[in-house]
Amino acid sequence: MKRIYDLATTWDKPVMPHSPQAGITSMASLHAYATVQNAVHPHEFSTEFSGPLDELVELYGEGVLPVKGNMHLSDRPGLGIELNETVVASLTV
Amino acid sequence: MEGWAEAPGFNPVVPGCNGAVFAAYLDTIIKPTLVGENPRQIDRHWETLATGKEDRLYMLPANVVGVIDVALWDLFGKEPGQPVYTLMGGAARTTIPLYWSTGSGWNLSPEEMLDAVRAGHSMGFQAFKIRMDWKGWRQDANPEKDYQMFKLVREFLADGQYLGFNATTATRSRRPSSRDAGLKNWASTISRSQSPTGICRASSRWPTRSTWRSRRASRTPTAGGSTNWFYSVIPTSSSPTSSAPAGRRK
Repeated sequence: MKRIYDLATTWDKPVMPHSPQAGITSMASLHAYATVQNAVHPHEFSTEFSGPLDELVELYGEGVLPVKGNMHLSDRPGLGIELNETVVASLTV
Repeated sequence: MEGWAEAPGFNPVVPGCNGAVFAAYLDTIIKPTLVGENPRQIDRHWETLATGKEDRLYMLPANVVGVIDVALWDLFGKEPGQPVYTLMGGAARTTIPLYWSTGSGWNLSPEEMLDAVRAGHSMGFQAFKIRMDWKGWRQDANPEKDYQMFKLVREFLADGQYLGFNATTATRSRRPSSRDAGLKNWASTISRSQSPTGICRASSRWPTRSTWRSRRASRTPTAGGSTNWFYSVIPTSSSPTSSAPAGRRK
């Protein structure tokens, strides 16, 4: 994605990433998208492939929850995920 | 220090998708290749897994390489205590507008799709996309229903609220395909159904070879032809053995 964004920025072309889910992968995409100077389009968001938002918040923390159609990226380290180890253990098969 | 990512696993929405395939990649290729390596060499590891290294050609699927890449970036940020966007060069913005994306349109009635859109609308989303999720063989043979779905959602949303149409496909062929046929049918339907309200303005002459050219024919943002395979985006003109030392080529 970074390489595509760099190319798009060089040629001043708009970009619009495909990311139909919520959770860690979505946060990774958002962090990369946040660095694109000429990104003018909204970023995709869907819970279809990741489950209900309340379960995701329990697993990853409030940082993955959109507010009124916007995602606010925190300045927490890494992707800003607050992994709930207890929930991870309960989901381990 | 740990980095986290989400790997393909069991998903009730995608029957047949399970973690066994990813686990096999992890145990047989990824661990033997990366354990003991410097985790900060993120791009080098991406290149190794996505393409190859020295005399080994891996070319792992994107949804396998991406898992490792995301975990390495998370780890990379945690070590110095910085968000990933900072390490990628700095954020141009930290508040990002989202659009609510709902799929499986081929398997939904227009009313069911509208309910899915309403869910995002009630959360305050201002932009939307509906996905048909046609595969290469075009499960949905009812473009009229697709159009009615689009029309119902468009009329529910207010003027100025973004609505995109995604004819998601998974074909990897460069030849005219069922993907193109599906788009052509859809566009023809819209052309026949153009309304004075200007819901959509699509050309009846829908190019069959280029989704991008097709997109320009419509005022509605329309997408199609997405693919999950690295070998579609990375030149593969070289033979599988071309990265091997000359003496080992056959």
